[in-house]
Amino acid sequence: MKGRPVELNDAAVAGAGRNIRLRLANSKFRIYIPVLSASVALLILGQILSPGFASASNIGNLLATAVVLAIASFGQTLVVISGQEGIDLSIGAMMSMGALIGVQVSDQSSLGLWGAVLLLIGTGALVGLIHAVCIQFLRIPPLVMTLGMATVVDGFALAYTKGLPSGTAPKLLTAIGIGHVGPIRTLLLFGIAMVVIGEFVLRRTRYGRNLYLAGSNRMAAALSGIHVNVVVFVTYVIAGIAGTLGGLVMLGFVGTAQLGMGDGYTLLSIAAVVIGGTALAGGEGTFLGSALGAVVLTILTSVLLAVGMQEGVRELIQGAILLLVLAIYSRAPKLRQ
Amino acid sequence: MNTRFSLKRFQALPSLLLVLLFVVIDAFLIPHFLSDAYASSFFTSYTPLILLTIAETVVLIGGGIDISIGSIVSLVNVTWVTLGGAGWGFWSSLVVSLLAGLAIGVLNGAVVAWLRVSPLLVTLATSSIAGGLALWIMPYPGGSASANLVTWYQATFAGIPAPLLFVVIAYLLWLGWALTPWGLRLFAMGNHMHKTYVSGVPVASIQFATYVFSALVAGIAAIAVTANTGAGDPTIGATYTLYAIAAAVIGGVSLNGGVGTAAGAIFGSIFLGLAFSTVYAANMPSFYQDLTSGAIVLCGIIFASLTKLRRRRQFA
Repeated sequence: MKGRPVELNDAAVAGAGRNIRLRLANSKFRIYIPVLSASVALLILGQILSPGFASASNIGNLLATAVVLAIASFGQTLVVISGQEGIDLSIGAMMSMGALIGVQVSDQSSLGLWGAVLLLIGTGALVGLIHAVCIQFLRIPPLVMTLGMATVVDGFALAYTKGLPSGTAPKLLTAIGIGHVGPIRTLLLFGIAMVVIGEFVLRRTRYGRNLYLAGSNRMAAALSGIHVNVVVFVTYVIAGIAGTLGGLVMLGFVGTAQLGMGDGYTLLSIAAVVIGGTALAGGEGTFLGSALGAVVLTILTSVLLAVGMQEGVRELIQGAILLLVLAIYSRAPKLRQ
Repeated sequence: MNTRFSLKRFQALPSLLLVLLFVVIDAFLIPHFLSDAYASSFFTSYTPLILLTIAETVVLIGGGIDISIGSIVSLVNVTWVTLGGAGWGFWSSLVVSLLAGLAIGVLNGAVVAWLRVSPLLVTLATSSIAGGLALWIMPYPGGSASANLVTWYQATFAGIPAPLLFVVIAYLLWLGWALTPWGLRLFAMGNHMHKTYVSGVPVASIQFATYVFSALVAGIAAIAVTANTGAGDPTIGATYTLYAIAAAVIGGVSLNGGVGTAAGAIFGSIFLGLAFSTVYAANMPSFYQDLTSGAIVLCGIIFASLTKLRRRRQFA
């Protein structure tokens, strides 16, 4: 009874496997087509509206700017994949705090840059840990928890700097932020390395696999022996650390730190994640998609800036585009089903 | 019916106790706390928060969430002040600005109810739309509201502060919904969307109505904000959203839907107001105030979730 069907199945599985792999490669590629074509279309539009927009040096600038947003979307992607309405509304505040503490500690204390890095890893991990405890054990929805934490983090940054941030970014950070390696922006290489490492972690490590499983079905994951709590804790801790260290990179890119400088990244990172094809229900998504989403959003913002639109109009258009993308990609099934 | 009513009372009880506790503390800490003048100044400052908490509560009871109410306040505020500055009449400019706020609510409701997109993300996007519009209309704080309005807002009538009129209006609006069969349908929908749908209740329309209601009450809150500050500010509403959600949670409203009362919302927001007043009264340097208020809000949320956890365990 057992022998033959297994053999048959094996053959079928081998055949289907090749098919599935082909189809997967196809569909993986297809996910990115809208994003890539939108980028190209926006570049052409920008070139028409303001000549020189699609020049090599400006494209380099755009991609470098996009890397900062991609870093903000890094933690957001993990948290959204982890499911259970996972979302991190504290990323902007964490980045602001990272930049403010980073500049103050590396400039005005004996700890130096590396001391600041360690301190920021610790702070980010602590905030992530508090998030995870409150979300996982006290059952506070991630939205409310991270939104509340954002005001505490912003308040902490204000109290820490006494409202007057001072100092300039350390040389190493500016080298990453605005330097070049040969003709290529260092920040771009940094971003590519980040996406590659991130994708490796998601696809090839046990944590990555468990994250997808826990994200698509918490109960099933727990029943099959995955330590869901550990997965959630690691996710929020990584998101916290990515937030504060992302602030350092942003500091290197901008050169100085200001209160609330990263706040805009909260909404943009969610938009990048959604545009990048990560399902808000959890259990699905890639870093590459979020990074491409960041590229599209950055080019869009630059086009709007090139046309000379005010901050208010840009915010309005960003919101409208997010709404449009949501209405196209993230609709829930009908109640009737 | 009887059990439902006593359960409702029970939900608002912890926040009522918190309010009483802080009234006692502040009576000792803040000089003249128990005077009419202090009550009047308290309600001029915190009426917008009370209103926004009621607005948020209705959406939360229906199982949704609305994080665009703060931006709606900004939008209505700057539209009203700008139109007033352009020579429009008091009422005509008010009606147009309230309609602008309502338009955002209609957009929220339509996309959530009929396009079935997650309310959190929809209202996040629309808060960017409304906030962007506000910033477009008035890039920098400025302008001035009607002086009569400002004077009226700070007056008391027979010892009752004028801002309470807005709270009464919002509460009556809520009762007008809650006491009809549509109130029961709202709670049912928040408890279990699908079962309610199967029972033949038009859930999409009710969802739509919750967002329109919250935008309307947010518009009334914007009137109170404008009367309090006497000017336009495109970012004035931004901080209110979190405080309104926190106040609702502290007032016993469940973020999972189906549970909550407007009374709890009112007590929760008054508690937050009292806590903030205590922080200001403690005379700490201004750059510590944001941190302290943020920490109080977060602790309030955690406290409310802890009591809820305990309650759930008792039932289990």
